[in-house]
Parts: sequence; C-alpha cells; structure tokens
Amino acid sequence: MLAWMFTDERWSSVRRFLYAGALWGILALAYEVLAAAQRAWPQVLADVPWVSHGRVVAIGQDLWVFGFLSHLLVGAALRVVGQGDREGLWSEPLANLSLWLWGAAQVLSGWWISTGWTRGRPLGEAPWPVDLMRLAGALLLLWVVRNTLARSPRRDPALALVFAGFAGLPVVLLLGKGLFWPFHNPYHGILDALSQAFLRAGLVWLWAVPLAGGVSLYVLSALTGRPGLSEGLGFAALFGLVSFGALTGPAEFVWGPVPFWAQTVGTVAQGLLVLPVATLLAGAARSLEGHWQSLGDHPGVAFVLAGWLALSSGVSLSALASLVGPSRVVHLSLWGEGVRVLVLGGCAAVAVGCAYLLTPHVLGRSLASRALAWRHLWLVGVAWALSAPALLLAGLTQGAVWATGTVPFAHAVQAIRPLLAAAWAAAFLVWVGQGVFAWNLFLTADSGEPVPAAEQELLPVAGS
Amino acid sequence: MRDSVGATGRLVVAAVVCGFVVTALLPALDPAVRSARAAPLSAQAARGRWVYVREGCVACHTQQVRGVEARFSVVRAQGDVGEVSTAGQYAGQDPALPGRLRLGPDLARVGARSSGQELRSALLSGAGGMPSYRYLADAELADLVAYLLALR
Repeated sequence: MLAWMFTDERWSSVRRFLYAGALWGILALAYEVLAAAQRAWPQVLADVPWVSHGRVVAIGQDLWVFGFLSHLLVGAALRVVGQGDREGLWSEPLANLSLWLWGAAQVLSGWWISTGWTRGRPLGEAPWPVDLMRLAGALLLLWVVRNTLARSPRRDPALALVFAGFAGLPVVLLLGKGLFWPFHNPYHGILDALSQAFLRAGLVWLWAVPLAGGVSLYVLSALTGRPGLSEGLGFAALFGLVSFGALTGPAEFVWGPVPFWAQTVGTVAQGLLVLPVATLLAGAARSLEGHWQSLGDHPGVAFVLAGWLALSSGVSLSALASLVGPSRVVHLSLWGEGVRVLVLGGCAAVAVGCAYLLTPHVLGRSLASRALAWRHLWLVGVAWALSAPALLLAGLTQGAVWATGTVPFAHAVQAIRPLLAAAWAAAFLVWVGQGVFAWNLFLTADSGEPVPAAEQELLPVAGS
Repeated sequence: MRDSVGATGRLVVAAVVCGFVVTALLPALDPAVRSARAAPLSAQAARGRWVYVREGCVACHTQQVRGVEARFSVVRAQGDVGEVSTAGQYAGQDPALPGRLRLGPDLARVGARSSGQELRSALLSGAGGMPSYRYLADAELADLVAYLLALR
C-alpha cells in the first residue's frame, strides 16, 4: 500500500494531481451550484445545518481554490518542471506525499467546516491542522521543484514563473494565516482583517496566476515551436505580478476602515497588475502567431486563450472598480463576485486547457475525445456569458439602490433575483462541463490511443 | 539554472514579505488604530459571536460603514447606518468580521436600529431574502441575538 502511495514511477504524481483536480472540481462545483441556488432561492436546504448557506460558501471556496484549481495547476506545473533535463522530477515519492497531505487536508477541511469548526476568515476558514498540512505539502512541493529546476541548464522565464508560484505559496500561507503561531490566531482587529485580504490576494496573484502563466507559456511554446516571451519581458512580468500582487490587499477596503494611504497603495497596485497580466496574455498570443489554426484544432489551446482573455478582463474590471468613483457604487456588491468569476474562472480555464494539452505527455495517450472537450469549452463559454454579466449587473443594481439611501435593502435583493437565477444556471453548466472533463480524462487513461515515447516529450523552445 | 532559481526564490519571498508588511502590518501600527479599543462583549454576546462565525454570516453581511454611505450620525430606523466605521472599531476581534460582500444589510450598527424581537423573528422566518435559522437551539439563537444587539 505504502509502496503504491509513494511510488517513484515517472509522472505518477503528475497524473494523480490531475485526476485529483478533476474530481475535486466536480465536488467544488457541486457546492458552487448549491451556493448559487441558495442565493437565488434562500430557503433551499435551509433547515440542514451542515449545508447552511454560510458553510456551503466556505466549503465551496475552499474546494475551488485548494482542491480543484491548485491540484490541476500543480499537476501541469510538475510535468513542465520535470521536463527540464528529461529526467523527470527530483523526487516522485515526495511529490506524492504532498498530494496525499493535500488530499487529507481537503477532506478534513470539508468535514470540519460542515460541522461548524471554522476560523471564520473568508477563503481562510479551514482550521489550523488543515493549514499546517497544506503548508507542509507546499514546502515539499517547493523543495521538489527547486531541486528539479536546479538540475536544468536553461534559464526560462516560464519556469521561473512556475517557481515563483511554488515559492510564494508557503509565505502567503505562513503570513496570511499566521501559521508561525499555529495553535492560536496571532492577529486581531484590523490586522486580522488586512491579513485576510493579503491571503486572498496572495492565493490569486502569488500562487494561481504565476503557475497558470508559467505553465501555459511553456506548453504553448513547446507545442507550436515558437517562443512566448523574451527573457527580459518574462522576468518583468514575473516581478510585476509578485510585487503588485502582494500589495493589492487593501483594495478590498476602499472607502473603508483602513488608513487612506493603505487604500491608495492597494488601488494603485490593483491598477498596475493589468501590466503583467497583459504581458502574459501577449506572450501566449505570440506563441500562437502563425499557428492560429491550432485554436480550431485543439480545444486545449482555445481553453488557454479563453482563460487568459477572461483573466485580463477580470483584472481590468477589478482595477476599474477600485478607483475612487466606481468604488462608491460597486464596492462590496456582487460586482466583486463577477470579477472573481472572471479571474479565478480564467485561471481554471488555463489549467484545464493545459491539462487537455498535456494528456499525451502525462498519460502517454492521445485525448480520447476532442468532441467532448469542445462541448466542455462551449458549456464553460455559455456559463461565463451568463454569469459574469449577470453578477456585474447585479452589483451595479445593488450599488445604485444603496446610493439612494432611501430604498429599503430588501428591494435591491428582490431586484437582482433573476440575475442570481442566471448565475445559478451558469454554475450548473460549469458543473456539467467539469463532469465531461473528468469523464474525458478517464476515457483517455482507459482507452486513449497510445502515443509513441518520442512524442511524449515536451521539448522547450530556446528563448521561450 | 541553480543560481537563477535561488535568486528568483529570494526575490519572490522578499516581495511577498514586503507586501505583507506594507499592506497589513504598517496600517495596523497606525497610532489611531493602536490606541482604539472596541466595546467589550458580554459573555452571552461573545458566545453569539461564535455562532455568527460558525454559521458563516460573514458570507452575506458586512460590518463596515463606508465613508460614502454614512449620512446620519444617529441610528434611529431601518436604513440608517450611522457613522463611518474606523479601524479601531475592530480592535481585539478574532476573527475580524468586516466582510467583503453585502447580500444582506450591513450589520455594523444593527443593534441600534432593531429590537431583539425583530432580530429573532428575522432569523427564524428568514425574512428579506435570508435563509431561516430554525435549526439553531434556543440558547444559540438567544446568544446570536445578544451579539447582534451589541453591534451599535
């Protein structure tokens, strides 16, 4: 049993992270569907404590970020990192250990939050034993990735981005959750509120986006044979992302109870984040130059590009909303949820696209059904077209009603109910799409056409 | 690539730590924040706060009045939100609950504009688009109402 769990078989951890991401995704999106239903129709399962709305939202977010998104991104990132000198990962057993640690942490987190044990910090609800397991897993992954990359003779900005994500996560968890003092929250008052905001910003800009950027740049350039970003631009994007991303936390408190200078820092950083994200989008597009037909050939490429477009729109809307004028109206409203759909959904689409593109290089088999993958893309596309405008419009409506100061709050809730129903329909479509994705991966592993060993390599392009 | 991996790692860690210091630590060291103290909660209200945390009320309710919406300094009726919230208002809170999404009304001063009976009735019936919390034990409901009444 232990030999199977901690096998040193080449790419075993990559396969397991991808499978786990697909399965956690089904569960995460089921919670999202339930949470969206409870927003539109508040009495859905209201009498069952372990699926009350507050707990469902907490578990859904935790599953989404740490289960679905993180597992998929780590799977794809480990495959890319291990390609370096064609020897695979420095230690498959350690990478497998981090997978089991994160899996156990995910199960415990869902169970404990369901039963009411929570730290009560949005996106940081998991109790401290879960956090410690996640931190241990993150440190193991960092060690494996560092030692794997150290063997490689090449300097590649895509791999540096991936490494930045692995280096950033432990620090974000350590500081954002106060894990240097694990048995007791070391933060109180406004410091606790600001560290919560730091954690949320860090999980997106210092973890998910660098990984999504690095993996997609590497995979696209390897598949098309065209480099994405020059070394200079790649490293500029990396440090822009990390530096500005680490400063965006106080943007959550525009007009709110933190010193004005801190609000300004957060707002400016939020605006500047557009630059590195646009650079990464340009890098992905540059890899595809002369290969635009691959957009129609392989759904994985279309997923990656759609993800970057959504992410870029999300960061632009987020920057707009943190400006003094617009934030008067949309701050604290559902506009923020619409932006999160675009940013986190964009990262997830990039991760899913890379997973589709990497199947021959991880499973040794061609994707079982491109038709199913195209259907998945359509389901997600329709869902975005429904949910993002619905939530943004709902946010504007809420903000406009609050600004009057005379219309009762309940009227705003009533007015946005049809938009919340549309968001529920979108969540349902994404959930169905996730089922299609997992089924396609299973079919590929089970009966996909074998790929010759030479074609399973993922050769990088000089200067990518 | 060993050298560039080490350099990248050190720069990333330095950027993240600086980000935390600038955006979390320094604002919290502001003299106005450090000198402020929030009104202490009674034992019952403190228990009610944990019911609030456990049920994830923060998923839909904020506890922060922003500068753009504070119109009246006195809270008398529904719709009045009172003075703008300050950082010191959260002093000592673990976890702090300013919230980031407002699907239900802001609760920063709900205790000043609602009676215990109104709050209890809203929690039980799920009025105004809120789910009902009939499954809470009577004592938990009383604790939660005591906490909400303490928000002034």
